[in-house]
Amino acid sequence: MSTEDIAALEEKIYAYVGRECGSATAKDPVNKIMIRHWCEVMGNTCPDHLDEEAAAVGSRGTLVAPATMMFVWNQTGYAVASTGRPKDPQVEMIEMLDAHGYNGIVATDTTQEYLRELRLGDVISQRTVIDNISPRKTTGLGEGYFYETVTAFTDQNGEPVGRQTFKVLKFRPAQQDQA
Amino acid sequence: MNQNLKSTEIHVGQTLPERPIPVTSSLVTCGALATRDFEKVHHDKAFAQASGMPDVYMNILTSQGLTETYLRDWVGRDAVFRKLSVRLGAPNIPGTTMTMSGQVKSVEGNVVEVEVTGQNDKWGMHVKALATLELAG
Repeated sequence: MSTEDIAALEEKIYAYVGRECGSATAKDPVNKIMIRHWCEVMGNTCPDHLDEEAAAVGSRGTLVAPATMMFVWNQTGYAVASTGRPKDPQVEMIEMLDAHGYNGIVATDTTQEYLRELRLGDVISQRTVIDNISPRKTTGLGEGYFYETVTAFTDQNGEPVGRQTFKVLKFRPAQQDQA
Repeated sequence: MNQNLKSTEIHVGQTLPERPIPVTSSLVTCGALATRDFEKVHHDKAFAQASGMPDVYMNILTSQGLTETYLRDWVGRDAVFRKLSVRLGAPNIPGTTMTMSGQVKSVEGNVVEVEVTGQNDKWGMHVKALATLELAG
């Protein structure tokens, strides 16, 4: 890509900073069925995730979801595989980078903070914003851009319950440049 | 799962027992489904190969879930997760083993920071995590 082409692309992608994407309210409340299915695969045997009676007399006094399920409640579902991820500004930005040869993608870092444990019946909403996009960088995978989304999680009363940052590298595969 | 650890039983530098986890097609695909991550690279081998990978590979939510479970088994039932930061490295591809290990980084009052590494025997560091746990009472 010429310097002018890069400048034109960067002007377009940096315009995505601050754009909201993928905001939604979970179709299912926090429930013991999905928690149990998760625990089966992860090998998690904590009674406070699995046994309502035991949880009632435990330190929490109630059943709670595993912490890292915070981002599970609002997943898009099977449509991702069957018809594709619904369009939002993040998907648009990825497609724009793809079209300019930055078609590699890899998640590099994610942090979840938990303000409280989620209980049965909680209905979790999330709002995701493209928070920042790096200058063009040279990495081991190829040249590209790191972008970071920030997701805020709230409950049915609008109270914050958690926060997630998620960093992704969109890169032009190094082998492609050699070809 | 251990009995609840007390802060007096935890010190900086303390190591957690290693846990080897066989990475199988079942763990990868069923982990993706249990976390409702329907990206094809986690369940469709032909699709994953077309994207340049040797096979399906583990999704992040499963790596986080295995990390949470590893820490839960060590710290005991009552501790509460406050934060989990995860740095992602090599992919977890079926036919390999990821060995989890951990080390205590700080203890302040009831708050403990633990670093967890998931080392893939073929591809290298899969995940390096830093967890903040609050012990009960």
